[in-house]
Amino acid sequence: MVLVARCDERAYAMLVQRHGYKYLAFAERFLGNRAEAEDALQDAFLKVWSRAGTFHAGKAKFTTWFYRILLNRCLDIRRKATPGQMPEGYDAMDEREGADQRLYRLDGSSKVRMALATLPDKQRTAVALCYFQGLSNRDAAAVLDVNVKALESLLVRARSNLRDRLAHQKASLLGPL
Amino acid sequence: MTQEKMTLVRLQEILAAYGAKSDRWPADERAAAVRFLERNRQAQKFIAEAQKLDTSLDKLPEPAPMGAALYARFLRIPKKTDNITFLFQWLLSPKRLIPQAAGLVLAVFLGVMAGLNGALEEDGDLSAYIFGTETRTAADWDLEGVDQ
Repeated sequence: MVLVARCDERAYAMLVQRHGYKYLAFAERFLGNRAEAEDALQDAFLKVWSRAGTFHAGKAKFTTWFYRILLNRCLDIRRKATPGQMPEGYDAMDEREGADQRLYRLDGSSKVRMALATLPDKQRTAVALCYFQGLSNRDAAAVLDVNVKALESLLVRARSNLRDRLAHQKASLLGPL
Repeated sequence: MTQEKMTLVRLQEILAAYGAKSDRWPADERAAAVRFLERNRQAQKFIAEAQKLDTSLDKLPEPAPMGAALYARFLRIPKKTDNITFLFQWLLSPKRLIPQAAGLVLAVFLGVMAGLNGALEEDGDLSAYIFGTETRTAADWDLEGVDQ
C-alpha cells in the first residue's frame, strides 16, 4: 500500500492480482449480479489508487479498509437499482407455469441466491463476510463497524431468515402438487 | 485469549451464528466448543440442524474466476503523480494561472482608475501636476539641498 500511495503501478497491479478475485466474490454475493459486482470492484480499486495515501496501517487492516470501500460502493449500486430487481439467474415467477416446471427451473443455487437477496443489507453482509469470505468474527465486525456481539446477532437473524425463506420457497413450490 | 469454559447455550449460539463447520467458529472458543461437542449428545443434535442450512448455502457456486480482460479493465487507471509533483503542477497549471493573471491585471487596472478618479475629485489639478511637467518650475520639484 505504501508503494501504491507512491504511484507505483506495479504495486497496484500486484494488489489487483492478489486480492481481486476475493473481493469480486464478495461483491457478487452481496449484489447477486456479476456485472454490477465488476463495476463496484472497479470503482473500489480506483478509489484505492487515488486515495492510497489516506490508508493508515496502524488504524485498520488493509482488508477491512478495502471491504468497507467496496461495501459502500455495493450499497450505492443497490440504492440506484430499480426497486424489486432480482438477482442474476433468477427469473420472475410466471403464474401460468406449473409447479413442476418451476421446480426444474429454480435450481438450488437460484433459491439460495434469491433468499440471500431478500435479506436486509447488514445481515447479508454479515453472512457474505463470515460464511462465504471466511473472515474472522472480529474482522467482519470491524468491516460492519459493530462489536462482535452485534455481529453474532446479525448472523443469527440472517441464518434464521434464510432458513424461513428457503422453507417458504419449498412449501410454495410443493403446495400445488 | 482462550475461553476454556463452554456451555450448551453458548454452543447453540455459536451454531446459530456461524453454522456447523468448526473452522468458521470464533478462534478463541473453537477448541472448547469442539471438545464439548464430542462429549455432549444434545449438542450433536443441534449441529445436525445447523448443517441443513450450511448444505443449502453451499449450493451457491463459487463466482467465476477473473479473466484476463477483467484484470486488464481493473488495471486501466488514471496517471497519478506523487503529492509534491502534483502540488507544483497544480500551482503552475494554465487553468489556474490564467484566471489568477487576469484577476491581477484587473485589480491593477481598477486600482489605477480608482486612484486617478479619487485624486481628480479631491484636487482637479493633480493630473495636471503629474503630467503637466512643462508648467513646473525648479521650485516645484523640491530640489532643496541639491546642487543646481
